[in-house]
Formats: sequence, C-alpha cells, structure tokens
Amino acid sequence: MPRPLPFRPVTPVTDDVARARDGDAAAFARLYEAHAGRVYALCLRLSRDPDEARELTQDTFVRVWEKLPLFRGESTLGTWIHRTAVNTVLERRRSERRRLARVEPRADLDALPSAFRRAPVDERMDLDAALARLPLAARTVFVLHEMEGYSFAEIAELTGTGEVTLRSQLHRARRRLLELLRP
Amino acid sequence: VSGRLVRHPADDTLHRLMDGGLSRDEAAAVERHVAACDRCRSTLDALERLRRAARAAPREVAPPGELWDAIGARIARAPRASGAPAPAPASAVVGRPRRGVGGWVAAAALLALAGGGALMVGRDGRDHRGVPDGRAAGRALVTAATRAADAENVRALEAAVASTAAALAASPDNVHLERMLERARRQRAEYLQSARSLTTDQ
Repeated sequence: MPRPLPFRPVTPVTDDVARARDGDAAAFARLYEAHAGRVYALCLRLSRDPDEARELTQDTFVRVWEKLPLFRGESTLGTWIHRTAVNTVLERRRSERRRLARVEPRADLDALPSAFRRAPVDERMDLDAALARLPLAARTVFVLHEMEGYSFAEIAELTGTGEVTLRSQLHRARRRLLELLRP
Repeated sequence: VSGRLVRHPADDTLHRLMDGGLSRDEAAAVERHVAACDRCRSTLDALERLRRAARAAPREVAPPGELWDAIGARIARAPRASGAPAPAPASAVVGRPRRGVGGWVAAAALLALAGGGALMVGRDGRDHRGVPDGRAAGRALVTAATRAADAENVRALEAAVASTAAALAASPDNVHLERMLERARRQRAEYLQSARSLTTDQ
C-alpha cells in the first residue's frame, strides 16, 4: 500500500528545471521525486481509483515533460505541475463524461490508500472515505477549493462551470460530508 | 440579509459567511445572529471544523514505485513543446528524431524495450526492434553495417549506465534512479550476451 511521504518542503529546483528543460531526464527524475506525492494524492482524491490515479499521474508528468520548455516561472514549479495535474484529470473526465454519466460512480474504499483511510479529522471523522462518496462535481469543487486552496474563479476557469454553480456544489458537498461524518 | 436578523439565516448564508461571500453589512448582521443563536453557531462551528480537517488532510501519498519506470519510458518518446532551447548533445539512440535528450533518456528508452527485444540500430538510422537472439537470425543480420550499429548500441548502453550511475551518485536516496540503474545494467548485460551470440555465429 502506498505510504504517506514524510514532510518535505518543495525547495527551489531551478537548476533541475533548467536541466530538465534541456532534456536531462535525470534532472526530471528529481523533479518527479519532489512532486509526485502531491500529484498522486490529488489524482487519487479526484478519481477515487488507484489504477486511474496511477494513469493520471503518469499522464501528468509526461505532459509536464513535454511542456517544460514553455515553463517560464510565472508561478512556482509546484503550482504549475499541480495545475497540470488538475487539467489532466478534468480533460480525461470531459472525454469520458458520457460514459461516466451512465455508470454509477464506484467508491472503492478498500482500494483507497491506507494513508487516506487513516487520515481522521478527529477520532470520529474519516474525511477521505466520506469524500469518496460524494458526487463527482461536489467532490471536485471540495477538493480543489477546501483542500487545495483554489479560488472559485480559478476552478471556474479550469472546469468551465460558473462560480454560482460551484458555490452551490460546494455547499452541497459540505452538507453531505457533515452528514457522513456525523458521529 | 440586513439589519438585525430575527430569523435563522439560510444555510447557504452561513456557508457564504465562512467563504467571505457576504458584503460587510450582511456579514455583520449574520455574525450578530450567530453570536446569539446556539443552533447557527453550532452549524458554523461544524463547517469550520470540516474546513480545518480538509486543510489538515495529507497532501502527499507516495505513488507506486514502478510509476517512474513507465514515465521514464514514455518521456523518452515524448515530443517537447516548441520553443524548447537548443537540445543537449543527442544520445546514441540513433534513428529517432533528435529531441535534445541525453544519455539518461537513452536509458529510459532502453528500459522501455525491456522484455520487448533489444534495440538494434541500423545503418539506415531506423530502430530495428525485436531482433531475435537466434543463430539463424544472427547469420542473416551480421554485416559490417550491423557491427557498426552494434558498437553504437554498446556505447549507448554504456552511456545510459554511466549517466544513471552519476545521477544516483548525486541523489543516493532516489529509489527510482537505483531501480533504473539496475535495469540499465541488466539491459547492457543481456544485450552484450545477445550481440556476442550474433558475432560468434558469423
């Protein structure tokens, strides 16, 4: 089972970014090492499926490699990679929207990493297990806004959903989570 | 929502209060109500606990160890975005468009082929994959051009091992590099063994 990574602040890696931009895969491997845990956690939360999270993480880093020459440092590398991951997840979702609409979302809680299942708010709460039971849109806005700190405007830009709708989805997500987490 | 509220604010209003989505006057009115209302204060407390829990949730989960191998293999083939700086000296992965990749990407390319046949480089500059190890195939394939290509492949394999080892020396705790080095060495050994059988058959 995946294990939680030890806390490791993401320090500036400008040399590695420059090297990776020039095609140095060893430097890119170090960037992966620094950022993969956060990307994988995000993909896992948004997809709820470890297999899909692996694919999404893989797609994210391949895309980061492809686009790295365009990275100009307007944001931190971590922010840029994170946003790439969000876009990767949302694009796949859009491409599969029709299929997902027909299929009852499954919350394979047993397959969620123990790191998530054992991440209690307090003794009563198991937030990730409850999150996995939320509808897709509500889960997405909750993860991005409440957990990852995206503004409503940013989420609206990423998802193409209006801010009023996003707020409403977030409120529903919170209400449902509080029900699920009620002792 | 203005003035002194005598009725409970709507549930959404409490959410908006927490999100900073109310005007100053609206927020002040709702806060006055909440201060005097156990029910609304309890709701707001629960929302705030939920937010704290969300922000305290683990941000990182270690991905499966084999994930880098797959990524390494894919980036060896991935095109770079336009606007890329001048490429680093190309690796000895001959036959592919030079994408500014170094020996490490050669390692990744070779690893990508693990289990799928050795990478053979032809004089025509194209990859010749899946060259069998069998002696009959060897007799048919060993030419001067093949020998030259073989030497180039060996250099690529050596470069891949060397650059991976150098990267590992710089990042000794990197388990992905460690795994890639092990596989690069194994690839080199398997290739050398395969190439030897071709030349001895000649």
